Parts: sequence; structure tokens; C-alpha cells
Amino acid sequence: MFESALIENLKLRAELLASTRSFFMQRSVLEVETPVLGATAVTDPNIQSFAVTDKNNLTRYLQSSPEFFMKRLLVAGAPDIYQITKAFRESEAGQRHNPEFTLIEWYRGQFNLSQISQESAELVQQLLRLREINLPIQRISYRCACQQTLGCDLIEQSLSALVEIATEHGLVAAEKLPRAALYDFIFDQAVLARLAKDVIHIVEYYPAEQASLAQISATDSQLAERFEVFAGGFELANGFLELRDAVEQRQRFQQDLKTRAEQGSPAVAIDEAFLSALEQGLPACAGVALGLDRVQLLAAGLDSLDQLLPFPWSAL
Amino acid sequence: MAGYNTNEFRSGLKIMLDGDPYTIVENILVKPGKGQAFSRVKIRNLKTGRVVDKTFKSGDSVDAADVMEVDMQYLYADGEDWHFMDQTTFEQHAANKTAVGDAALWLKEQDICVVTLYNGAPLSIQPPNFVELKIVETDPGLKGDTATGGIKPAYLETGAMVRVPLFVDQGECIRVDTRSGEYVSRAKES
Repeated sequence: MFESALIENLKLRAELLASTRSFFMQRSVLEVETPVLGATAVTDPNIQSFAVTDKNNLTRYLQSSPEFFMKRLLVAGAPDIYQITKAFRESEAGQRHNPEFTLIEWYRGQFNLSQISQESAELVQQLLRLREINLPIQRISYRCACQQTLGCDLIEQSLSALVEIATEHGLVAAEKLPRAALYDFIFDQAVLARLAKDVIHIVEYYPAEQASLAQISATDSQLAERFEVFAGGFELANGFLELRDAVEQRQRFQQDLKTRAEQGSPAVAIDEAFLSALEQGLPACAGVALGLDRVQLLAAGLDSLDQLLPFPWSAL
Repeated sequence: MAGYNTNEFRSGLKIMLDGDPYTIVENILVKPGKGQAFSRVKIRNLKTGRVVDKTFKSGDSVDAADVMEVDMQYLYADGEDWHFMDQTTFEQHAANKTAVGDAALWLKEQDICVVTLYNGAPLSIQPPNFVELKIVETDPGLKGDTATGGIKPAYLETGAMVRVPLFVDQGECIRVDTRSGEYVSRAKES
């Protein structure tokens, strides 16, 4: 990296952080901090956490997201909150992945899916303007995005039809994958690749199989109250109308553990402190996590985190 | 047969897919934040040279292809096969017409080529990037014409046709870039 590029990246980062803080200050959202080392790791079958063990054999986990701690703050009565924090995900290293990365995560009481997704896209818009990049915001449902690019509604396809579409797009051994993984592949390869790059896209109402921590839509049980934000051809943010039902949350965790066992991922313990908080009652809220490093890639016009981060994973 | 996990993927790795040997040209991690991780690769079919895009689920394994690239000296052609010798083991290998392909146009005895062996047999031949070959037939040279930039066809000892400047004569040796098939310069008699 040329020295001037390094300094340029550092300055842009500082401006992005300052602009983010002013964005939330104007909206009276409170900045908080939560532990980076937690007692449990997420059950999500697609996320592996780093474990840290001290000399007394006590194991803690580097948090893959501040979500559970922040929801516990909401249960404890915190108002609207945001956090800018490091998050950690094992084995995720590549052009636009660094195992240690920075998330902007926030929760808004009483917001619905279109309000939280609009606010996410507006923050991205504000941050990109720091480098005179003005992108319009467009909203589309997951269903319509697939219809427009693939000519079919993915959610209505049979498993064998999904396997066929995935195979046509170059996926090897597609028949071994479940619906959710086939959706991931087809969306990335065939849908996202064809969405305009110079637009901030809000894609909303994901298939119910991909609900993660989102509520299932009250009007259509095939859909989850989940959205993502894309620009420049890649994912920037992921958000939910948050699931508040402790019983359903426990069932989803248990399903995750089953999937982890089937795929040979390390076993993890369910975060009981989080579930008890849900039992006490999480206020109605919507939340979102935005990848700051990815936004900076766009603002700086760079292709790879290796060009952006002063100390990328591949060269520590 | 040995296998590779997708987390070992890197460019140059030789893998088997649908019964054909491939080399990995490029490997990219694709992973939605909450979703399944994949390895998206560009791979070149070592038999046909075709490059295709494929995606593997992260953690999947593929068979390794028994493929090696070895420097070998080209010895001679017997009308059916082209014969090469491994420079370290002195073992000789016969490559057929399919394996040699267009490389035949640039093979000069004693030149060092890269021979790709698949299951121990030559699969493809890569000639040196530059070869020096004698012109066996071309129109007479124009005396003194070194500046006009005109070109004419010249036929080389290997049967290749190369476009050369007008001042180059029959019987002369020229240097050719085998990747483009273009004339580079005159060469000294070898």
C-alpha cells in the first residue's frame, strides 16, 4: 500500500465514524457498548465463533455480532440504541470478508420493516456522500427481485427445481443442499449479479427458511420480516423485525444445533441469559447490522479489503 | 485417490470434475452474512483448455487430479508421436497428436517444453515462449527495404506460417513468440 493510500483510508474511516455518530445523534439513538467476549457463541449453523480459553480453562467466545447483548439492554429498558463494534467470524477471509470486522448495529422501538430498512439505506447514502457518491435508494421484494432477474418466483419452486436452477448456474453437487443454501447460492449468483450496481437496493421479505432472528410475516407464512441492503454488487446490511417469542426462539436455536451436528460444526451452548430476557419481554423493535468496512470499500472505490484495511488478515 | 477440501483451494491446484482434470485459475469466497459459504472458482479444463465458472459448497471435498507439469526436452517426431525426455529422470514420454495439438508448429529438437502429465501420460505440451526457427520458403527479400513496414508470409521448418517483414530472406532464422505466433526479430544462425 502506498503511504498516501494508507493515510487516505485512515482519514475516510475517521470521517465515516464521525458521520455515523452524528446520524444517530440527530435521531436521538443512544450509543452503547457491550462485551466482545461472551459466555456463549451463536448457534447459527453458518457462523463459527473464535473460542478464547484462559489459563484456568475458562472459555469465552469472540462475539460474531452484538445482537443478544443489545437485545438484553432493550429488555432492561434501554431506549433506541446503536453500537459500532468489532465482530469476529472464523474462516471468513476473502476479497470482501475479514474474520475481524466492524459492524454498526442498531435497534429501533416500534419501527416496522420498511422504516428500519429505509433508515439503513439512508445511513449508507449519507456515508457515501462523504466522497461525493450519490446513489438512489430502490426498494424491491425478494420475490420481485427473483422474478425480474430469473423470470420465476424462487419461493414457489420445488426443491428439485431449485437444484436444477442452481446446477444451471454452476453449483456442484447442488442436490445435497437444503432450500436455504440453494436460495443463498441462486440469489448471489443469479439475482444479485444482475441488480444495478449504482443503486442502494433494499431487498425485503426473505423466504421463511431464511428468517434467522426475524418474525415470520403475519400475512404470508412463506415470508420472513427480514431485509438486506445491497450496493456495488454486494451485501451491506441485514435486518429484521425482531422475533420476540421466547418459545419460538428456543425452537429455532434447537433446530440450529441439530443442523450444526449434521454438518459436523462444533457444538455450542444456547444463550440462556438471552432466552430469559426474551421471556421477560422484548419490546417491539426492529434491528439491523451494517458492515462498515464494506461501506468504506464503496466510498473509497476499492475492490478488496486488502487494499483498505491497514492490517488485513492475510498480512497480519 | 487423494482429495482437497475447498479451504485448500488456490490457483494452480489440479482437481477432477465430471471425469476431467482441471486447474484452478481463481478462487473467491462467497458468503452472505447469515448464509451458506461457497467457493466460487474459475477452472480450466486441462484437456480442452476451456475455462468455466463453478461453485462448491465450502467444506466439500473434490478428488485431486494426478497432473504434473514437467520440463522436458523435445527429442524427435516419428510421424505418429512426438517424443520428449524428462530432464531429471531421463525417462522418455511419447505424446500423441491430441496432446501436442498446435504446439507441433513450434517444436524444435532439443528445445525445453513444459509437458503436462495426466496419470503419467502427456496431456498437453507447452512450447517455450520464444523459439528460433529457419525460414524454408518465402518470397525473395527486397534489398534495402527495412523501413516500409510491409509484411509477407514465411513458412518455417516446422510447417508454421509466420508473417515477417519484407527484408527477411529464405534460409534465415527468426525468433517467434509462440503465444501469439508473431515474428519478433531475426535470429543468429544456430
